[in-house]
Amino acid sequence: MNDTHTWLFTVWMITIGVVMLFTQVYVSRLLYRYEKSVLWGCIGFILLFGLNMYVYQIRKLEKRAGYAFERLDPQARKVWRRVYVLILIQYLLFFVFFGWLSSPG
Amino acid sequence: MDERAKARLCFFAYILMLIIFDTAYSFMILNMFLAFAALELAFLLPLFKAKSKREIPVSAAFYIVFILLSPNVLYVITDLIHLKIFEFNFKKGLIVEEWWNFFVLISGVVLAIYYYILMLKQIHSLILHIKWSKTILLAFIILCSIGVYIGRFLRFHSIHLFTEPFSLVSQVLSSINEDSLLFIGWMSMLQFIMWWLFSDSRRNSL
Repeated sequence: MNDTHTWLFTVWMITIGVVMLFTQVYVSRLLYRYEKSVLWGCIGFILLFGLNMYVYQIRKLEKRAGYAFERLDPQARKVWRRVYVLILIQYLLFFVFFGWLSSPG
Repeated sequence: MDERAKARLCFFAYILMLIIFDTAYSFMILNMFLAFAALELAFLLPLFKAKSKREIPVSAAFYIVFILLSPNVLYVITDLIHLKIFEFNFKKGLIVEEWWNFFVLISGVVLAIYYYILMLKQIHSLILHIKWSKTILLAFIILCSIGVYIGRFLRFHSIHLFTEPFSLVSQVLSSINEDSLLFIGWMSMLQFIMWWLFSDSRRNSL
């Protein structure tokens, strides 16, 4: 592994770490605010890779907002869109990271 | 139990089965995960339907990611080719290992067909009121077939569109010939058949 590779690897790790930490804190705060429950706050922080939102979506959001999210008010719609985009960014970063790691160059 | 709950329950049960029990088809864990991810993204499509001009960039990005991932559902069906690793010579009697693996692979494929139908239903319910809905659905089906061709024969992954875009496009263009067009055509026909057989046009929204 040469210096450039090590440097890029470090940059990737830091970027992914920062995005993940930000997402966990954001989701955790959001779930705590919506549910007024410490348990949901903890679930929001502990479950990684979007599993926090996935559990919340199945248990609460789909029942409350409907399968087509038709019962969401514009503000809530904006918030949930932001959350899913953050999670998607996490996955895309991982995807590109592993693609980069496994590419022969 | 509704369709979404069934799809989710079956996914986790299937993955658990692949993890716990010994099978020749453990690669199905990744393939089914990618197919399931595409389905879950399809469930989120209504949330990302742009309602104002400001929302268009994020919505477009989300829809592009979904379109790039969606061929993974149909791709699982082509995993049926891996049945060939077993002989299935019934004259030798019943070999349990062969039929256990047959069960594992076919249940994954059946699940993928179910996911595919749910995904198409979701798209159909989104574009139902658009004038060009049938054309959009047709385009989606053909794109899925092209995606499967690229993944199966050129061994490219969705991510290569970002990491090696020029290599991907040039290899796709140079590989297009009568055989590849036939493959894409058959895959598209397969999708039409599945859609026609299994979707209920009166209850197309999930």
